[in-house]
Amino acid sequence: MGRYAVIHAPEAALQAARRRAAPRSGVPLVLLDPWRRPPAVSAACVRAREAGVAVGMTVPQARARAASLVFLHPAPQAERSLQQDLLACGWTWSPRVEDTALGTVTVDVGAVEEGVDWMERGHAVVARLAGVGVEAAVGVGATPWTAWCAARLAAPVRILTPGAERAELARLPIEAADPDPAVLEVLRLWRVRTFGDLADLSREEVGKRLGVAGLEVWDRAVGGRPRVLCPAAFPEVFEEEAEPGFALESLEPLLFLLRRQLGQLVLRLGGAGKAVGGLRLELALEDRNMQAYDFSLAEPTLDPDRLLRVILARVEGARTVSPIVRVRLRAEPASRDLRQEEIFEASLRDPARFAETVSSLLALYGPERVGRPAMEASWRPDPCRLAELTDVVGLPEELMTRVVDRPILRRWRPPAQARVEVDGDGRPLSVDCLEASGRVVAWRGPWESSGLWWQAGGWRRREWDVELVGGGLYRLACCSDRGWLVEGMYD
Amino acid sequence: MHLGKQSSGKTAPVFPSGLSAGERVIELRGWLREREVKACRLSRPGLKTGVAGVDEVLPEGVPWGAITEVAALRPSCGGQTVLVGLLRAARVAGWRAGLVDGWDCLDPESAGVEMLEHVLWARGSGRVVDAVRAADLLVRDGNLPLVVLDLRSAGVCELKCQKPAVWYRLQRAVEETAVALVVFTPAPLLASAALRIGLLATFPLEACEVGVRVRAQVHRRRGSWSLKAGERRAG
Repeated sequence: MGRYAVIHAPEAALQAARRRAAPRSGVPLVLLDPWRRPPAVSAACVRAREAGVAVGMTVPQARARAASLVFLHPAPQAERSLQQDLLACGWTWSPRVEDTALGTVTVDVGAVEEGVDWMERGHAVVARLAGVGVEAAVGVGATPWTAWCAARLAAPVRILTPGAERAELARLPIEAADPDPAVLEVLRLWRVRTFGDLADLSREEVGKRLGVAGLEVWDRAVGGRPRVLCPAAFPEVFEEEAEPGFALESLEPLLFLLRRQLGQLVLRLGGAGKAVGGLRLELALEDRNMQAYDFSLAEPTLDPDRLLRVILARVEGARTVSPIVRVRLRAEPASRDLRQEEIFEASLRDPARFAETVSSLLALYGPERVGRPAMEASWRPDPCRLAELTDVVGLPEELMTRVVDRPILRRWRPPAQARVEVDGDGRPLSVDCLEASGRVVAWRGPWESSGLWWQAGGWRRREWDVELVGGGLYRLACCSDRGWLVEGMYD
Repeated sequence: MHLGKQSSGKTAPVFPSGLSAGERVIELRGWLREREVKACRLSRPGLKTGVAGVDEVLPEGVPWGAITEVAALRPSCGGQTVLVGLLRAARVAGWRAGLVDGWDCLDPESAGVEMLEHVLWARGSGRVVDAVRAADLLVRDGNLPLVVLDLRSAGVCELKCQKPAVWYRLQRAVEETAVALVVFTPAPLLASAALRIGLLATFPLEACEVGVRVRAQVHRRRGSWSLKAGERRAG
């Protein structure tokens, strides 16, 4: 026997628009249908309905019933985002999740082991969705239809007991079976008010009188029929975009948006069995420019507060040339696989704190000045570059015993331009620059090198190591394009 | 959670009731982390530089939870050798290290890039204030047992112009951790340094072939550090 769960967000379009606009709490909200002429209310929240606002009313009619009414417009992007959140919650239960309709996902939980407390799981999902601003209900039943009915009855979780489902559904009004209007009219004439009333009638007799449409309603009234789900595909891109509708000029509203986006992304990644391994934040500015920040994390995490701190450390001191009109946050999925550390690995005590610190350093110095020392495969002078920090640092055995026994170059960036006196063989006799001056008392070299000689931008140089009379070892270089340079001091 | 006294006199964590096993593990980890800072400072031997001349005058190594100042008093006196020696020592010990390179002077090719994979390199832009702030961030992070701040290219006047509170703030930050903060300066300047080493002699050119011999002298050893490795005196 199959088992299905439905996660249902009532008035999903209204909830999506509300999440996007983030109005003050407690105000009555309605969603307008902009395609109708004149525009009419297509959905209303509980508070608006209590004030007398109904679906189909025009704006003046609705406004007359509640002066403080807030009108929202449909937000397709926000609706897709809400639907992704529902799917992510479904994937925490089973990989077979159907994107049934806006605000409804159906999960095939037949393969889930026996003895699961669905009430507890349902409440956990409801709480998780509430954390990202979605009011949802969960129903569990033997067929997708009964599960959906249970979700509509739920407050906020309802589990239909196998075998007793028909009795539990019997109290539902017949309108809940979504009958054809003509069929509904006939059923009302028959004084059929509930599922139970219809289920008491013979299926054959109903079919003779109401046809296929009537049979469908009868089947629903007795619990529906099993059907094959069309499982939705796992998302490949985890991205959230927010366009608040007004320009952001300070940090607080930006952080508010980011916190919500992080909550949604974490929810989805958690549903896909992944964690956040990195982030990319893109801020679209009013002057049509874009400002982007990349964040790498020392360890994948699903803690939105930690992720927010990493972002905050980077952006709190940042300035944009014009206000922000759109915020896009993309999370890089990373595996949450755990492994035992090797004995010589230098692991971090608190990777999340480390990510915050690196983020602060990036804000201080910029992304091109913080990283791990690395070398380019090139013979050109000073081929060093910065590489990404690795999460694990192993140590090759042959390096354990290496000692420092030669002077190490302390490079000046940029190198100092110098006046150098040379003898007839081209050897340096004296050096004069701002940082080091004096007669050369000893020298080594020259070492010649060249590169890219086959194209424009080629270089050729001769290097000497020299000791000056006042003390100090320096590296001199005579370059084909820049003359004499002091590249640094051996120290 | 608070600490309870056992009959043996040792302290042990006492958990509040009602915690699940997972929550107890998290509490215990936090407790161990707090204790680890103190335990590291007391039990872990100081960090040896791997440079003979320095290790001879500093057999106990660089202290944890304190500032060590290395003053490069002459050109080519071995400052960079000591700096790279410290970074290598951290690598051998299996620790990460942070290098705030105030004037962007590290040459990975010369230092041996394969020994620097554990280093978080912050390439400074020539501003003392930024470099000190970066060092402060790394020290407070607590993930890097060794933090090196290179200020040798700063002018002595510029360093002297810094408010003493800047260095005392660093000292306070280090004292709360098990981090060794080593500051390289062009002259003895840091009033808050617990240990100060002066590098005295310039290398001759032959050092490039026969090897370096650094001459160092301990100028200051604040009362809290005894000659016995890693042991703190009272007061």
